[in-house]
Amino acid sequence: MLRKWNVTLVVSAFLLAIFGTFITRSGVISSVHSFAQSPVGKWFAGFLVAAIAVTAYLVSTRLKDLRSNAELESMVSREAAFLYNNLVLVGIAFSVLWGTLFPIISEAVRGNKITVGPPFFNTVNIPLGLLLLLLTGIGPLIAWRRASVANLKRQFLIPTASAATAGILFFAFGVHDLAALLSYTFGALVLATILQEFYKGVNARHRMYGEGRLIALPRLIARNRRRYGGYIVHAGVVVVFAAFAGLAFKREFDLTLNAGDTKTVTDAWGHRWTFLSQGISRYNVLNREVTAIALDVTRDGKPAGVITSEKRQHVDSRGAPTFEPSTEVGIQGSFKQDVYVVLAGVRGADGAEIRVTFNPLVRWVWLGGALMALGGLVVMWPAADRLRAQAGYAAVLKPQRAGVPDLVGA
Amino acid sequence: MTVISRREFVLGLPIVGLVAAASPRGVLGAQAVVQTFNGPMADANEVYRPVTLPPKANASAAMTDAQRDELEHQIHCQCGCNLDVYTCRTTDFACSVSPSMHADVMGLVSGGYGAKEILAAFKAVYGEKVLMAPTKSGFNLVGYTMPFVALGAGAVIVGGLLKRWKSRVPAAGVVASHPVNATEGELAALDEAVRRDA
Repeated sequence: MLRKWNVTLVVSAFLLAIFGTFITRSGVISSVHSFAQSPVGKWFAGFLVAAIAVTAYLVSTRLKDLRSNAELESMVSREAAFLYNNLVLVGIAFSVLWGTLFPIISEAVRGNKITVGPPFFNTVNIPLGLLLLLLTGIGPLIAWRRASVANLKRQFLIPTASAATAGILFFAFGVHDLAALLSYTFGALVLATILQEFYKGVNARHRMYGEGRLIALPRLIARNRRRYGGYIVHAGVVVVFAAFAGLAFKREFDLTLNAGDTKTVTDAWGHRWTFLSQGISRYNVLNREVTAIALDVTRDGKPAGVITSEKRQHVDSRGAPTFEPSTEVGIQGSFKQDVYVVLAGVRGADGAEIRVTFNPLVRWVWLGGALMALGGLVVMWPAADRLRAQAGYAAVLKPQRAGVPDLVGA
Repeated sequence: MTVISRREFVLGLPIVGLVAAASPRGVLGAQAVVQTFNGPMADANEVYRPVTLPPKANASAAMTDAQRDELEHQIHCQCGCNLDVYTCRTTDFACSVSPSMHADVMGLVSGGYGAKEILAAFKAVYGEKVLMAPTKSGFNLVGYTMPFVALGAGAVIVGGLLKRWKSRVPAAGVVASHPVNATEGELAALDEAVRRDA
């Protein structure tokens, strides 16, 4: 099932990666990655055309091998849910492609330039992302082949109740941004689904084989790595979405500090942060000229370390600037939030303009990514050799009557 | 089908790690250092154009600092950085364009103009490219709606495919049973073997 579709997705992913590189490096669209002064764009365009031609030839000459007799018993089945999920993922990829190309299309049609920045992608992709998260929760609850009403009721009851409870609780605790609220609600649905599946699986092994639940859990995963590894990937997706939704609680402050000045601001968690400027320092090190600020930080009156931010101007052997200045962001991270301090400008001898940003749940993006990688590893982990050595059941089928050939050892 | 053994799989993992480690820049390092430009930055004299309007009668600023910052998030800095004015002026040390655009915003705010009027004034001077996202009108609506139209079209195609595949499933009871040339004992032994190894 879906062999042609899978190959098309693989080929499209490769070609789009090349296409993305081509339009940014060639300067077709404005990008910090463009090499507008070099002829690299033509090479990429040529390679893209060659790659399309070669992959089109390879796929078209193998269509017979990719033919599969796809059958589906019901539109409400796990197989159909896979397709719906697939559709949303492709839709998200298309919206990114479309948003990237729309300035070019608009200029060609209307003759004037436009900018398509983060607000456009947020408008288009947040609804699609939430739909994807919802389907991630619903898919595993639907039975393979055909789902009955009774099956759906039984499967959906606990996850739906959990999601509703989580939604109400998050709202009560002050999450009023709709996208964030839906993200946490759907995330709860997915997590409840995963826990329910693990719980049922472990209990089934406990009943069937009398295994203790701690033993049953790893054996359950080992027995069906694709399924339970997939659930671990889903858990990673939830964590990543929760982290993205944390952006709704981002707080930014512009502070002007002379040496010895303090400023206090409050983050989304209600903590009061005080920044004490130790003044501006200017020095040369290795191949760069550095302007830096150090800030003594306290959180709710308790010392929280020193954060430094730098502006670096790299120079060549003759002391001439090589690139535009770069910024070294001071970061103090925790699982609650990352505090970014950026030295935005210098006023006089010791005055500094700094930007303080509280970015909630940033580390959870990494955690979610690690979970997804772990799930992927579980899915890919090969079966044990002894299982593959079983070549069938011929070894136990001894003939019961005369005239039937002995298959033992065949 | 080529099957990878556990031994091959485990031995292969360090190779993936070595390839990742050999990449020129660590991921964490890339996160910490923000290089805002890789080409020459536009000179303010070349790209900056003043956006001014006469102050309204009895004008007073009708916008908080937070609202002004939010407004600047919607205005595209013209220095070539692809950032909005607020982000550029608060993170880029060397940009001379965003401070000038910020000064224009401040002037318009103190002149009593609201967010929509200020955006319209910037659009009149620089064109639509000065907005971080296209306005939701005219041809731009194609931009905003196309992903959803494409998703809808995809849903129709997938629905059609699913119906076609559903029609291929034989009705219950239609599948003919094939005669089996085996004794009851053989079938029982087979059944037992299958159950034992399942």
